Amino acid sequence: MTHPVAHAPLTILEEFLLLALDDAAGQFYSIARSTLDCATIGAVLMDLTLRQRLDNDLKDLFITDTAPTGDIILDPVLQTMALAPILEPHPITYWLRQLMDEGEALREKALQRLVSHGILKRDDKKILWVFGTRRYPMLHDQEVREVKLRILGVILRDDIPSPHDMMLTALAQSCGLFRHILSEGQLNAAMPRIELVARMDLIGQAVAKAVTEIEAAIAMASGFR
Amino acid sequence: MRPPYKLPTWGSYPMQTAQAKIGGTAKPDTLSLPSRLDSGTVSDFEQDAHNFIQNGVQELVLDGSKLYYLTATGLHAMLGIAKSLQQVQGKLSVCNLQGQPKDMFKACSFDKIIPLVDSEANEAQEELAA
Repeated sequence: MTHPVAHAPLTILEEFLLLALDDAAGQFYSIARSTLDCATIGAVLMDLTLRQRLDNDLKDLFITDTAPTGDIILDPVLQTMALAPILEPHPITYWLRQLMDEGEALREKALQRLVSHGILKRDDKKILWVFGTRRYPMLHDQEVREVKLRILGVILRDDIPSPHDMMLTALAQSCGLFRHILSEGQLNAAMPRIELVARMDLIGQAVAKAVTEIEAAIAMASGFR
Repeated sequence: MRPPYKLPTWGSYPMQTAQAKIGGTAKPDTLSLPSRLDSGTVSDFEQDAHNFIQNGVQELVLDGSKLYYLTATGLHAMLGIAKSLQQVQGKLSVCNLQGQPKDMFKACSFDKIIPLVDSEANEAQEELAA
């Protein structure tokens, strides 16, 4: 059995992916791909904000420092954002839309890094010798247990969240992940607190709004109202 | 007994006041926020606030009367200070916020986590005492 490798603290994106993975199946919980893409970009924007490369106010998201962070997932996104001829501020929703096509590739890179940390393993299989499926079973669940404990402390015990945990809570709430972490009774009791913490970050608010719009569009396309 | 305060680096960063115990009653210490609290000024603010905490301050009021621009980075710094104070059974509150900073604070529901007092610092003291 392999052991987890010593690694830098996990990013919001990596922790979000750990929460979104169903341990038993080694696959993401049932979340629309576009929702996952949106949350992935939101996570990257949050990680860049915590590294003081981006900042935002009520109107816009703006680049405050173009210096690379040294993170191979975050730096290409920062570079793309900094490539604009003029570093003109745009609303958060603008960047979510602009970068959403990168969501899957960024997610894959982050999953690969979790594999290299010895937290997940990659398991490629063929169904009927033709259709490929990829699973990421958990090798060591210590990280995901720690993440869940921290988040539960914030939503069940009224701990003041760190900015990192506040942002992670917002993403988890946008993607409906708390129903996989809490029992129905716990979820009902904790919902006011979850909604409060999820509102505390403007990127989180923008992701939630975008996800709601995506889900409404999917429902409309599927013929539901 | 509270150790003597280490005064922060002066310069462009605005003045702050440290109020020690007066007449045997613990009064919250007040830290004046700069005119902008964003990625350019947040390090100085964090340093000053942590100096207060390291010096044993448990109740801190941030005075926003000079603050006219607040970003997410500034809010994150306040949250970090509030968390540090919670870990020592202390409290943080903010007073005299107005305009854009107040809108930002409320839009992010920070007033539900860090008490926001609209008028003078003594009202913040009452809030903390409650």
